[in-house]
Amino acid sequence: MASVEHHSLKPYFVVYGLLMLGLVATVWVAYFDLGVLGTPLAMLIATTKASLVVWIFMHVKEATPMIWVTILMGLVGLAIGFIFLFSDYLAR
Amino acid sequence: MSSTNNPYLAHHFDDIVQQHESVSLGMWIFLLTEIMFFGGIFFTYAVYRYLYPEMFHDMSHHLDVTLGTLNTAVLLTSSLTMALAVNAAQRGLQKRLVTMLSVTCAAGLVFLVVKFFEYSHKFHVGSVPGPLWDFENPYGNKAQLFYSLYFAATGLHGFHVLIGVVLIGVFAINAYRGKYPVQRAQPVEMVGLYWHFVDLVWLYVFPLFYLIGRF
Repeated sequence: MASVEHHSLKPYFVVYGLLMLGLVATVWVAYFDLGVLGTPLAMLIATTKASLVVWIFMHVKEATPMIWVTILMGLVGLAIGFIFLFSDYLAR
Repeated sequence: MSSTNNPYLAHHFDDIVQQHESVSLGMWIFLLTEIMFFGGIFFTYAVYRYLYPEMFHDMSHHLDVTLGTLNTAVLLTSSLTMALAVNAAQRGLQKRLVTMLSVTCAAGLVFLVVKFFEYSHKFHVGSVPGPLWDFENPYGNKAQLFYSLYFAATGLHGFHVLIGVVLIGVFAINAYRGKYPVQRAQPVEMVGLYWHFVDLVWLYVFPLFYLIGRF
């Protein structure tokens, strides 16, 4: 069967612990004035948490290359949106 | 696994592996459309925050960080229980599957209840864009922009949570009736993907709306 049998629950609890740490980090860094770096740092932490969820909870780690390419296309679509948006607004 | 006698193999698939891959691919393509759906809100957010940084900074102060943090913790916990539910389904642990789906469903409800209190507070202080707008602030009517985006993002997300709660509730009942034996774990995997996606969106909504300009 395509889905791998998971008998150990440990990875889920480890990821959950990391996600909770990430939540603490997200709130904690928000109380410092980091200037222009504030939002990029918040996004970096959010993306780290999101990657853990996608990789372990959503089992993308064990997915087929077809699924990886599909997900990549979603991220490329999102990136195109942001790149064109900012190449316009930042250049005004 | 031999697929010849699997009652859960649809006739238009060669084998269970192919069926599993096709179903997963379909679900991921749906999630991609969801990325672009929520992406539109984030694009709009990026433009207006770039144009009015101080206003976003100040208006974010009026959101409740404690409730936002609580709700993030609730959603992250529900993601764990959803992952455990999928694991239970894959291992054929019926009782645990029902328990984990029920806990996930309940966590989704907790999220919505907290959201309800946040929203009703906004109606109370008049920070709801539109005819009900009556919010004292240095930016006047312009501040409606922030709240429009806030309600659009959290409202759309909340609606997804509501759909998830109903779906997972139905899945819990079906699991209780034994409709997800180990050979048919995939529907649970797919509803799991949906629920994790809803969690992912919140991971971005929370810092972008609640946590800007806290210092």
